[in-house]
Amino acid sequence: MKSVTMGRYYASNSVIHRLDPRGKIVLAILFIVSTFLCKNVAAFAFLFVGVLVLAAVSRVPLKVILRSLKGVTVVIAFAALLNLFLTSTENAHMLWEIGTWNGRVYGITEEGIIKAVCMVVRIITLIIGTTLLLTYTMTPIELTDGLSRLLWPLLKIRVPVDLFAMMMSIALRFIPTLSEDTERIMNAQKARGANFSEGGLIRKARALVPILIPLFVSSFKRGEELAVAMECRGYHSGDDRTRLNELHWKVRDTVTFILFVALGAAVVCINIFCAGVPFLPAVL
Amino acid sequence: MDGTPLIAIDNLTFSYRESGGQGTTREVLHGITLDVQRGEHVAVLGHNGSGKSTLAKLLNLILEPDSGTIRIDGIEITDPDLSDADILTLRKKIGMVFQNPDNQMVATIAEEEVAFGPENLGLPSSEIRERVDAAMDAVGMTAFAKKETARLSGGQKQRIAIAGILAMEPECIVLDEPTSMLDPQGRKDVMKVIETLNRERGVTIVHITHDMNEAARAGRVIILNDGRIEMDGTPEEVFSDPDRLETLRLSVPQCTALMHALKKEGLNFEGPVARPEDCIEALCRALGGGR
Ligand SMILES: Nc1ncnc2c1ncn2[C@@H]1O[C@H](COP(=O)(O)OP(=O)(O)OP(=O)(O)O)[C@@H](O)[C@H]1O
Ligand SMILES: [Mg+2]
Repeated sequence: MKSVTMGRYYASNSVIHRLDPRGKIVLAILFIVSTFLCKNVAAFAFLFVGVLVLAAVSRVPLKVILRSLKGVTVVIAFAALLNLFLTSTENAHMLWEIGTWNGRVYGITEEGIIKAVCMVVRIITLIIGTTLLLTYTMTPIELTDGLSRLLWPLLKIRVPVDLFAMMMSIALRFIPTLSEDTERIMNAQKARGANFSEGGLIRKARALVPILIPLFVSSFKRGEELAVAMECRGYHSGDDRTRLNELHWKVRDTVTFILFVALGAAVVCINIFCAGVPFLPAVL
Repeated sequence: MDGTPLIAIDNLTFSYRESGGQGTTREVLHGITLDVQRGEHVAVLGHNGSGKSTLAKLLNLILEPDSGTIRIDGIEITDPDLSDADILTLRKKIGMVFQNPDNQMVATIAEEEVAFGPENLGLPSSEIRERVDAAMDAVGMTAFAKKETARLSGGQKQRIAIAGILAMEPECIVLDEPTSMLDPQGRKDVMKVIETLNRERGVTIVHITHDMNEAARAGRVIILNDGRIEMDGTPEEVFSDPDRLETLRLSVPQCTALMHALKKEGLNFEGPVARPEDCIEALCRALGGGR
């Protein structure tokens, strides 16, 4: 059976893997903010190197990381082209003029190229950085656990964080079960002559109905039985539940946290001090 | 012990609400009276729809009876002003294991699954750790503690489910057809765990099953028929009359059937037997040789 539960988690025992999930979630947010703070080439280069260092420390192979970029190549290409052709050509070094339309000159400029490259670097660092922190080095369980514990104070104002956390972890637990169910139902329907691969979009969508309905029915039955089993084991919502693995904030978490904050501060500094050095107008 | 039975059921009736009509009900348990002592190993038999699962759910207050009383450890659980804390104490005392292991697992990782019950009890994490390790050891699943539950075999999942109950340190475990979805090896493993718990730790076992050979391993067999207790006794007593069991849509264990067949052929035995080892002994004795 495929390991669907673990998502794209890359099992290893690196420092990044062992960091407190709460810390990594906050760091990921901090990281996203710093990529958007970048204003010039130097800052982008700095951030890019930072991500490469992160990748090296987390011991996730580059091949695996590049795979996460495959899905967004279209987005990256689109962003690059948009910046390449639509950057304002006024007061810019024109390299190749295409033509004039509606009184505006279109063409490829030096600024456009720099902007496009920066955009690509921004998207790539953004994706690599966040996937490294949140998926490659963190299991979905750790993610829900960390997230729910970060949001725990909301329980005081009656936001049922504990229920959401429980729902999420049950959903994760049932992914393999439901995918097995789906496969079984599909095979059963195929044996009755159903065809899921031919026909147009509408036909394909209609072919899904005889899969979805039994899937819903079996899920409801599973849900009902699970509810009884959980009740029998004394489940009740509220904050008096304890945990087997309490999260422990360690020195290494504080150290990494400070490092990341320093990284963000460095980006801001580079923005200020290198402004105009390798000339670059604000991106975005 | 002081003699109060662990489970004391008196004249219990229960009806399900019919899904179709408004307010119509159908009584499925008609006046059950039953005592289970501490440390007993009880097997419950009965044809499909005889009310075994319903009875099990009543013990844990998943369902509420129409009339009659249930006392667990002397405490009346049918009392309407039972507090939530009392219900939690009850659920800690009586653990339940169900038929389908996939539908009773909450967590992705085996040891977190076992920890779910103790977490609900609000124990400190060091104690949860101790209990989880001990429970894993008791069912022989220590090596699988960090494994994903989805990747375990049916028998292993069911042992994890038992460990999950065991970690709550119950006095009694009610198992509702725990082996019916397992292969022979899985059944054997689960039965071994159940018997060890009963013998070595004195955990009271109520084992609902359709397997006569499994039932024969219990110290006491109860037969439910259409919501009534039809027979109640040792396996030897209950299985002594194959024809009566037939009318209850049940059968006798293979070795008992063999003994009855041999008896009809004129071979003489001392009494009814239900377990293979007793069968061998009786045969050896009847044939004149020792073992
Ligand atoms: N949720 C329900 N709603 C209505 N009727 C039910 C419900 N669950 C069970 N019943 C009915 O109650 C009766 C007893 O069911 P129960 O599940 O207790 O039988 P059982 O002895 O466990 O059977 P099996 O051997 O098939 O598990 C059956 O006639 C069944 O149709
Ligand atoms: Mg049943």
